[in-house]
Amino acid sequence: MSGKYITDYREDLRLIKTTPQRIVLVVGVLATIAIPFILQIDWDPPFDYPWRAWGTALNLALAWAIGAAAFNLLLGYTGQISIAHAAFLIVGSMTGAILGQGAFGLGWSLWVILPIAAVVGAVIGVLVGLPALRVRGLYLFMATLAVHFGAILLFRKYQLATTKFNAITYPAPSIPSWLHWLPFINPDEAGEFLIKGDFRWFWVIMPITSLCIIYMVNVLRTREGRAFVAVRDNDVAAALLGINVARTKLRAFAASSAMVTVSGVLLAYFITARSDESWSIEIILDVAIMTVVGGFSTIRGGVLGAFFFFMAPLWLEWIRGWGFIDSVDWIKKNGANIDVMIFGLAIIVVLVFKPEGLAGLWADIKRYFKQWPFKY
Amino acid sequence: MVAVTTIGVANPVLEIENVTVQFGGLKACNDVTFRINEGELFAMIGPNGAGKTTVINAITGVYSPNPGATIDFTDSGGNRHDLLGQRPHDIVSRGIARTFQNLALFDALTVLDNLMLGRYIHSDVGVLSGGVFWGKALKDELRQREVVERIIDLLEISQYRNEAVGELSYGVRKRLELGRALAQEPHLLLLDEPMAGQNLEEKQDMVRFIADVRSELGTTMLLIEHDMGVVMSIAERIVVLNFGQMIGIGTPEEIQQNPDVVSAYLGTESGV
Amino acid sequence: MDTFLQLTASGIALGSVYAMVALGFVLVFKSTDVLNFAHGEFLMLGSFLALTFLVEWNLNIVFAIVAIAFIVAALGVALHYGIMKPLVGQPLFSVVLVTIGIAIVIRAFLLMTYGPLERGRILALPQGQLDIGNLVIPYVDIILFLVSSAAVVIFYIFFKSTTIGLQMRAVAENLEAAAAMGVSPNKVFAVSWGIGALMAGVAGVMYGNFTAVIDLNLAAIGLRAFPAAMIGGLDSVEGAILGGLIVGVSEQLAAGYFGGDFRDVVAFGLMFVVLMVRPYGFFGTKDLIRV
Ligand SMILES: Nc1ncnc2c1ncn2[C@@H]1O[C@H](COP(=O)(O)OP(=O)(O)O)[C@@H](O)[C@H]1O
Ligand SMILES: [Mg+2]
Repeated sequence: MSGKYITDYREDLRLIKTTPQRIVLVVGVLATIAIPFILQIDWDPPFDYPWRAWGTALNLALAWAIGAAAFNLLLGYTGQISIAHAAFLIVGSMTGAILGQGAFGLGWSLWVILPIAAVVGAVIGVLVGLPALRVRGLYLFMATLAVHFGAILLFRKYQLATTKFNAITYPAPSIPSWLHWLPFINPDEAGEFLIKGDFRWFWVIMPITSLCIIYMVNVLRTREGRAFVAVRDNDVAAALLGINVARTKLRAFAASSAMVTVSGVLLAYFITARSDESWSIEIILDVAIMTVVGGFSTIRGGVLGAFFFFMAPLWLEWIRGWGFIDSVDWIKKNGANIDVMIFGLAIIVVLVFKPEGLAGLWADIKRYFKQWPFKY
Repeated sequence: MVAVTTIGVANPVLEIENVTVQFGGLKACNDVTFRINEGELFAMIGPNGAGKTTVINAITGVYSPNPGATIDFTDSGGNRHDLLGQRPHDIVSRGIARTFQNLALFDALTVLDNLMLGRYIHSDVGVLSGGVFWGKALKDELRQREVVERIIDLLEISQYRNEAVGELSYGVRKRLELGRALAQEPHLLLLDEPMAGQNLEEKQDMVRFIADVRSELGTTMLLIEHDMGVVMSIAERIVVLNFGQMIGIGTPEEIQQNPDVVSAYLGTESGV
Repeated sequence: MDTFLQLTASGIALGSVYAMVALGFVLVFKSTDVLNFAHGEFLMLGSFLALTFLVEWNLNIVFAIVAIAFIVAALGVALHYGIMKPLVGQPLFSVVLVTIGIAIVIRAFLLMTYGPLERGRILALPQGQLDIGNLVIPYVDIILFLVSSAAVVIFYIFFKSTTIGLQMRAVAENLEAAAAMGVSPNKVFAVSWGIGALMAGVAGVMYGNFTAVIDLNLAAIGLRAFPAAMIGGLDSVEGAILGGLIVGVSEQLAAGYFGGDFRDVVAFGLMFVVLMVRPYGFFGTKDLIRV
């Protein structure tokens, strides 16, 4: 009897269970692989569609998706309002600068730095999480805001001590030699195999993002993930199940901070330069846009939010290019500011009318299709 | 921790002495003293506000009693622990589980996840192995799942397995909470009014479940219950609280003949 | 010692502005339980409107203050009815996030209207200075202090001795009980938002006369309301005033002795320490923990 049961549960624990899910997965993977190639096609789409900008936006969205999803792990699942999350992007860029191959770095390779950054992020995450043991709710929000400003100061001091008033730069990492046989991989004029450009970066960022997302999904569906929710919803009841509330909060901080730090390293290397100008209070606003519009209570929400944040401006810009809109002077003049306005309004509209965000919309659509004649 | 070697005499599981919990001027329970032996179903009765829940809260470390109290727990391995001053999660992981008068389930989670939370102390999957999943965590999930499925069968809640708890009826949730406590495989089970707010049929089910648990697992229990009929029929010994004071302790027969208890209950509660 | 006194003097002027900002912030928090992240943008709006009224149109400063106070207060009331009211009962971080949305919208509006270039300080106040021994105190600082103090005192009297002030306190104390006594929570919330925004807006006008440049970073000044309010205790009016002064003085001292980089950090660092040592501030009430 137990033998049969075990296969049942194992089946139940699969992330992909039904045939439609399998089809979606296969199509999704194929599409993901195809996208960077399609984006390389030299082709002028109709209506001046901003084809090339997609590559960069895609990479940014992917790299940010880790951070936004990690924010949701902490806020949505564990209920800890930490605004210091943006600060871990700073931790990531500093780790990358200190250990990396830049002018003032130790000369380590990105592949070594990434796992180290995760560990560094986790350790600092625990430190930043300590206030959560003392204060909660909005008080924690405030305490972590202090951490944000502390991190900015630290970065500024580091920048002053190294590159002075210039931005810290991150040299392009090189492709490990055992991968040089791959198609499309040719040395540049200097004979080096560097990761440069949207196409190559996609193959770095996309797998790392996938791994990080799978990691978070797994954490959330096992013991600690359930404990996170228990701590969020009723910490006294959680403690009475044997959950060490303090330790659980710190674990959530550690896991989530590690992810954001990885995100920070990737972003720094992909963008190739970071300066104190990169960090302001606005970065908090960016995180807010992503998580709210995507939906702050799911991992999927973080990912969708990151895509919205980087993709929406492309579409908006494209729409602004249409003749009749382009002729409106005010719109022409205020282009990007209108985007910002729309983002702000999007936050308000989402929270007032659809607090679950895009992820909630997604669930609605799924529910709708479930009621179709063919049950999936 | 002192190993206990007394064999032959009934082994104590919980010994509490002089437990007084005070909220400002109010003594919610005053000098409560009793001991529960291994395998026993010990009931605590008394009118609303008598201090019954407070006693459970003191045992589980939610409230701390005044100085001079003793709360000793002997775990399944025969090790004796002083629970005073310990934190709730430490107390619980020694082998004590409880349910709540007003339910403390996690409404956002499914029935399955709530039960799996009961398994928390029996697993050591963390944020690393859990995140990797394939390997240790998967094996552990399957192992815990088997225990949980047995409880689902026992409590007859399999049709709700994947439903969010917030959408279940009160009776089912009460049952689920018992299930979650059972999932902890406690040596001592504290049940705070498990039948309150249920209809007759649900109550009978719950009595049956409690009897099943006793006969199958032999778990020692402290049961708080209002329904005197139920208490008299299933409890081996009873302690009666009134306004925080112990006004009687003994077998159901002794309690029924105790004049203090009778006068405290006459006309106020049914069933004596 | 001279440097110290000098820094302390300007710190008090700055702190009085912070006190005013923090007061508005605490008022909204106290009665509506909303942590308003857009408070800094209210202040910034005040400064930019002051640019229009005082620099562009060259209006009288008293008139400008009154007009801006009116506009910003109306905005606060409108925000309550339009956005915050439908959100009652949402989890507290949803509500914080909404105010972040409001902040973004105001920023975008200012960018559209005033462009991205920074503007110089507004010179609408007398520009001389008072010399007391070695101490140099600009008239602007003195006026700043006087206006802020006046605003704080007026507010205090309003809050402690008018009917609506009493209602506000009642609502803050116990919403249900107040509602049962016939107080309309909605009206109280709206008034709180109005006055909260007004305090920030007027502070913005004053700060526009004090700061070196006016640009979108001014919102950070409004955010100083957080540490100021937090140090005093998020729900205490007296605490906000004291907290504002503490933040202003310590910020000027830190900037004077260690450099401008430390401005943000000292305020928030101080707040952090207070939070850890006394999580509910000096005057705040302790959250009740449920069992
Ligand atoms: N956290 C608390 N703070 C103040 N008084 C409490 C608290 N918990 C319980 N009490 C009081 O203690 C008394 C006993 O409560 P309780 O133990 O819940 O009674 P019972 O479970 O027997 O109905 C009641 O008067 C109750 O109001
Ligand atoms: Mg009770």
